[in-house]
Amino acid sequence: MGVTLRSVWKTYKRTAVLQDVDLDLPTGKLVALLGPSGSGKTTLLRILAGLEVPDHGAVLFDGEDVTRRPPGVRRAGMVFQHYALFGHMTVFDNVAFGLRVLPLKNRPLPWEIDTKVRELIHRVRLDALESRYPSQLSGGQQQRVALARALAVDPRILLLDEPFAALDAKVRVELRRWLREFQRELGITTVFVTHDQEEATDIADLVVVVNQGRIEQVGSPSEIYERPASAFVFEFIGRSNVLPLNAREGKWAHDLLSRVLPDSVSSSETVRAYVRPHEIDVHRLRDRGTAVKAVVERVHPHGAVVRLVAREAGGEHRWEAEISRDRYEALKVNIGDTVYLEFRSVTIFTPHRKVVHSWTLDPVREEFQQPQRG
Amino acid sequence: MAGGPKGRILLPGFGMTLGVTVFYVCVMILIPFAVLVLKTASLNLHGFYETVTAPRVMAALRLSLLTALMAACINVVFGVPAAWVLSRYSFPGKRLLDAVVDLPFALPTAVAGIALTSMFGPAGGPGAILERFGVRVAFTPVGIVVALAFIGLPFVVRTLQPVIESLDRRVEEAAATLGASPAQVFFRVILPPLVPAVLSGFSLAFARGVGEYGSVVFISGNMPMRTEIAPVVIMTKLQQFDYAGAAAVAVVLLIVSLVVMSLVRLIELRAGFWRTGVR
Amino acid sequence: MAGSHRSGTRAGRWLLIGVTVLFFAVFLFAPLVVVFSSALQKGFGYCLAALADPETVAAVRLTLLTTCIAVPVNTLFGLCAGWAIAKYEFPGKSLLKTVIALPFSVSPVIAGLMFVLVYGSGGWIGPWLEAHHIRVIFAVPGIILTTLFVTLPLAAHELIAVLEAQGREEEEAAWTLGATGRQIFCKITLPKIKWGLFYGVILSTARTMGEFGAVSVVSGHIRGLTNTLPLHIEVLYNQYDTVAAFSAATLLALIALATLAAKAALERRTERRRDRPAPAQATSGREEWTWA
Repeated sequence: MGVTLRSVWKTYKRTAVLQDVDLDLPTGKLVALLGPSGSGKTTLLRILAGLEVPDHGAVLFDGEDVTRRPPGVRRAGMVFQHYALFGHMTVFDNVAFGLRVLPLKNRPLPWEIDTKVRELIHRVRLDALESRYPSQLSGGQQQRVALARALAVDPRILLLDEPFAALDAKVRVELRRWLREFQRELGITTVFVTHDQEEATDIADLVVVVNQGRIEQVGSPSEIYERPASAFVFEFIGRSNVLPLNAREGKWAHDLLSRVLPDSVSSSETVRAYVRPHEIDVHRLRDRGTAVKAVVERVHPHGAVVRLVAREAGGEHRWEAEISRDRYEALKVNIGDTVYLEFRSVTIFTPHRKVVHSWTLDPVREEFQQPQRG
Repeated sequence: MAGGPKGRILLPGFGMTLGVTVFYVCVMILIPFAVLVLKTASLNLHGFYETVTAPRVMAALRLSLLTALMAACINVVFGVPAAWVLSRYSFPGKRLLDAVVDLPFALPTAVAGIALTSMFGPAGGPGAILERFGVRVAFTPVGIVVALAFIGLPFVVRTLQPVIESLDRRVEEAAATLGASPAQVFFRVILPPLVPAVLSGFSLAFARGVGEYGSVVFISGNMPMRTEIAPVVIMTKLQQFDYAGAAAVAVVLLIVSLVVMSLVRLIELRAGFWRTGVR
Repeated sequence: MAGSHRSGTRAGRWLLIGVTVLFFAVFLFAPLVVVFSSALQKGFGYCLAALADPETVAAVRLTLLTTCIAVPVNTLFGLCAGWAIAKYEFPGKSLLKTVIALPFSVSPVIAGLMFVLVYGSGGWIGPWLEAHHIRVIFAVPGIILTTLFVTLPLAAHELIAVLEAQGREEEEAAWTLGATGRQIFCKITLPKIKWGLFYGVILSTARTMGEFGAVSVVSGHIRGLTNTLPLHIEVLYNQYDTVAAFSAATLLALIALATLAAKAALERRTERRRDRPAPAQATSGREEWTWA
């Protein structure tokens, strides 16, 4: 089922939690609402569920306006952050609840409920635990009960609020992969809220980045990472180096930038420039004039890659570079060594004009060039 | 089902439950209060002053306030260690002691009153012993203090207990590792977060004591000017059909307890501030 | 006390425990012992005979009648107030809570006085009531009304605390699953709060039966008609019929003890639940004396 939000506003005690949110979620996708805490992502989810009503705007399920329809009626299955399992009911009764409270004329017969609940419990792999109480289950098991309970009423959309936040790191990864597969089998449009960019990019088809009540960007995980729409998204997704900028004195503090910035970006503008750690090359010798001289301060081996933190010579700014282990072993750098950092690509945001520049070093001409965008 | 503040969909039942609550509160609490205030207002300021400053009323008010103050002090002196013992130590019979703290609250005041009077009367055991030392309890202000101390005990203990339980013992250990002596740990680390709770329990016990009737009337003897407490004066005025006079004294007592209660609120607000670091 | 922090001296610790035990023995246990021993001083049979006295029976009956009306009414009110206050945000909520707690800070005598002023013959609607031959003050309705007032916050306070501790996630979950308001209340909320509710009812019952000051003002002390059990105890005691007075008092003392037992059991229960790694549990019991 497709879901549409049309210019949704929500205010609590005079603070705008959501400002003019427009969103289209295509049928059958796994969607991540990604944002820092307080960004309004949970409110967005609760509006989809029908637990909150927007002050303005509309919620459409397959084109049908459900804005003021209470949650049970719009059939939005919700998995709460702390699962909100009914503590006085067994797993079985929890899952059966939604069927047992149906109006008599729509309620399945007891044996039909039994069959359906057993099947759901089987699908979430809790067969042996159906007569346990929630307090006797682990966090991951509780979550699967909550999921089965939400699915029992054949929801048109499945909503999950920070589904993995309360779990151990290891269970978290396992469970989210499982959820990914499960969602694909079910084919229900599913929306989950998370503040963890890794979680979002790992399993979602579509990532919605929310910040301060606004949607910053909607796109596939790779789109979000490769073509971030704003400085916020760039910083929020993946690691980044911020280039020190000082436009107040009329010139860029970093001489590198003053050389590479195009004339179209005036120095009076609020500009933010970033380099991803993996887009920094590390050399022992200065190859090119654009390289930055720095002293290695820390070395963090991280599986197949090694992260270096180096302090710019004659300055306070620290750079983080990420190189392959092979490269690291070839370089033989130690703490205290002088290295030269070369930026393969610099991304510049001019927020007021909402123009994004991504500059790539042309190795032949030793100049940064704006790449062709598709 | 919708409705409610700001067009929010709420769980069902908001209108009904709030409606019932507000209606009931109005009929049962607000109207009687309003009528009491209106009745007092019918006296005009001069009459009010005359009534309240009559010697018998003044004596009763003074007695009520002083005995309640004394009783609250006793409650703090014994209640603080009791709360400490009940929340920190384990010993046989602790559960029983902990349960019985609420006895003054659950026991009807009249029952408490006659029991205390029998105990501390000349014929009772403790009463006879004290009499031998020249201390008369029954039918004197001392008896009133005893009754009020009985009534007020749970307020101090029960206010303090959760606060002591919420104290993080690691903080005490941290202080000890920093070289603080046990005395320093107590006075500098343990006591400060307890002060608001002690004050708040003290005030609650005091407020309860000022208005207490049932447990006191038996032991006090109700001699005008000497052992007659303010609620008894109200009762007497009522029996003489002096409704306005009774209302005037009642308003004075009400003002006292409302002021004390506001104080408690204030202390608790500040304590909330304080405690966030401790929890 | 100074030396009594965690690793404090044993002596200090036992001194404190000793003082507490002694204080409790004199102050709390002794009065209780006095009640029962005085009632039984002339033997069990005499005690029973005193209880069988028609006036005592009438007093018990009136007390039971009052309780049977006041407790359910206040419990229903407490459920409504608890639901409204715990599940929703609305302006004036803390004011409402303060007003509900108001009867706690009112002297029982003043409570009685207020009802005399509203319903008494010289009172606010007294003349109208008299014109319609409805007696409230110095009659049973007055006793019930003042009892309702005095015990109003008891169940409400307990239920508000329990419902607030529950939060509203489970109710919301039930709601997203299509449950109606009544289904949410009966199937989700009620089972969760049943122990708090039970305790609230017991506490209300004890206080309702034992209410003295307020009822004393409005009852008119008509023996056999408008004397509740506590008022009857007063009458007996003032007639120096000590054994009869204490015999009647044992009934009330037993109910008080039942309240304490219920509370202790409830606390044990919540403690045991807290020890289990369970999702958010209700905190109950402990803090209900710290109102205001």
